[in-house]
Order: sequence, then C-alpha cells, then structure tokens
Amino acid sequence: MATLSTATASPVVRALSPAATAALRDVWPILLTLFPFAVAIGAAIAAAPISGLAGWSGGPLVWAGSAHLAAVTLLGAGASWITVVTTGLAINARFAVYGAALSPYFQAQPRWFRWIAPHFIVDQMFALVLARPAEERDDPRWFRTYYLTVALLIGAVWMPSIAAGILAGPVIPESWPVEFAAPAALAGLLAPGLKTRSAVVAAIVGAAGSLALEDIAGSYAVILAAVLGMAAGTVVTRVGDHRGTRESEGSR
Amino acid sequence: MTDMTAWQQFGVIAALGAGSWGLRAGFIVLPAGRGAAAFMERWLTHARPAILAALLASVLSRTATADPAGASMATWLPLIAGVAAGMLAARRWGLSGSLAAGLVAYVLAGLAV
Repeated sequence: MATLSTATASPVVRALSPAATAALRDVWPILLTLFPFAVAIGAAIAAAPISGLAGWSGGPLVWAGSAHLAAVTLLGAGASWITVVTTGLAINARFAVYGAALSPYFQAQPRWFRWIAPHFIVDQMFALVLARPAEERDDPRWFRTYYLTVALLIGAVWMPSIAAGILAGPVIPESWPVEFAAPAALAGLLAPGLKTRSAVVAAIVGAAGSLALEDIAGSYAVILAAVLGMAAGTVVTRVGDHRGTRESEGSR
Repeated sequence: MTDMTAWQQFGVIAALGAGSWGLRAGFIVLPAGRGAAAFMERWLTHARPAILAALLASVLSRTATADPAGASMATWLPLIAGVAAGMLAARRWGLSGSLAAGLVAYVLAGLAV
C-alpha cells in the first residue's frame, strides 16, 4: 500500500522534497517584496523611450533589478552601449564575491548546473542559501533542489511582474507620476545600504561626482563618479582599519 | 532619447547579461580566481552605494533640467522625506527597507509635483 501510494504520488513527493519545501517557505516573503520592484522596473521601461521587449529582456538576461533598472535608465537617456554595460557590470560586480563564496557548494554539482545555475545568483539567493544549515548546503542534491526551486519561484514572479509594469505603463493616466518610478526605486535601493560611514561617503562622492562631471564627461559621468565613490569608500575603510589597529596597539 | 534600434538595445542588454554571467560564474567555473575575488572585495562593497547614488543624482539632475522651476525642491525633498519615512516604516513593521523606502518616496514625490 505504502509502495503504491509512493509510486503514484512520486512527482508530488519529489516536488515537495524537504529542500523544495524549505525553499518555498524561505522565499515567499521575498517574492512579496520583488513584485512591486519588478512592476516599478516595468513602469520605468514603459516611461523610457526604448523598446518594451528589449527592456523586458533584461529580466531573464541580466537577472538583477538594480543593474537592469540602471541599464534601462541609461539607455533611455541616450547613453552609449559601453556606458550601459560598464555601469551595469559595476553594479553587479558584487556577484563575483557571491560566486566565490558559493563556489564550494558548486564543486560537487553536475557540469550543467555549474555553468547554468550561477546566472541566478542575486542578493536574495546568496542570503537564503547561506542562512541554511551547513549540513544541508554540503549535500549536493539538497543544495541543487533548494537553489533551483528558489530561482524558479523568483523568475515566476519577476518576469511577469516586469511585463505587467510595461503593459500597465501606457494605460496609466498622465497625472500619475510614472517618471518617478526610477528615482524612487533607486532611492529605495540605495538608502538601506547606507549603514556604514564608508558606504555613506561612497554614496555622497558618487552623487556629487555625477553632478560635477555631467558637463565634462557626458554619459560617462555616472561610471567615473562611481569609481570616485568606490575609491572614497575604500579610503575611509582603510583609515578606519588603520585607526583601529593603532588604538588596539596603544591599549596593549 | 536613445539613437539605438530595438535590436541594438537588445544587444546591449544581452552583453550586460553575458558579462553578469561571467562575474557570477567566473569564480565557480575557474576556482583559481577566488583569490582575485577576495582581493576585490573591499572595493566591491562600495560599488553599490556609489553607483546607485551617482545614477540617482544623474536622473534627478535630468528631471531638474527638463523642469527647472519645479523639479529641484519638489523632487529632491519629497524623495528624501519619502525614503526616510519608508525606512522608519520598514524598521517599525519589519518590512523590506528597499520596498518601503521606494514606495513611500514614489508616493510623496508623485504627490508633490
């Protein structure tokens, strides 16, 4: 009897394996927060003078909201392709660190997974995976099921929500301030990250540099200002480290 | 206004996607590169605030150029106030900071213009 019910219910049992169940339980609050952000990106695409389909393609191809929004904003402003790509890659540069941190869990995986699955690394995926107990992450099958379930669910919400934003954009009355979707989303992404002095300095120098360089560097102003901001943030961190080292040496 | 065709725009997005895959997968497919990731980490931690702030300033500056009379005060102040209110709401009710800040900023900026 037990054998029969397991056999007949096997697809369901597989779908609700412990890893998939854990993924479902972990990811749903994140999906609630992704939906309005994706709609805002869609609205920004609709408001920008770019192809809706090309703009939407950033959802599956880039798989990262901040870089996607930046690319759409810059494309709409007439920036060169190299500025769009460089800026987007600079925003996504943190994924290199995530990839390096997650690489031990990919080493025992099949080749197809090692090559395809990294595409789905985002902040939320990184946080969710590392929040699970180490013994679960170290089990290749468990890790693969959990990771792919999270990716699938994020994609199932993310892609249609961007499309909904694009489709809703043109029918939204003109009195609705669609043009504020991009700056509001950028401000919303920026503010929670300003937790350290070095991050605040990086943001201030980045913003000031962008305004100061606009007339000189044109569409390259954003990326040049970002490099200045990163350098300023790094200097502040190093000065803080140096001061901390001196204080700890002085207290000995 | 962009001069690119839809296919060129798609090509740019695809190039960004390919480069992003390289960043994500590079240290997984080529484990020898992990040392480089550790070396870059201190720089990369500041990439996100620096770029988002630079982009935000650029977008708001363009808005101000398009509408100099109303944009500066009527855009910056509601956005800043909205982000602050959204962050407080996020902390008070345990919401996502990005979501709450973005939504409140959007509503306030929209009401102000």
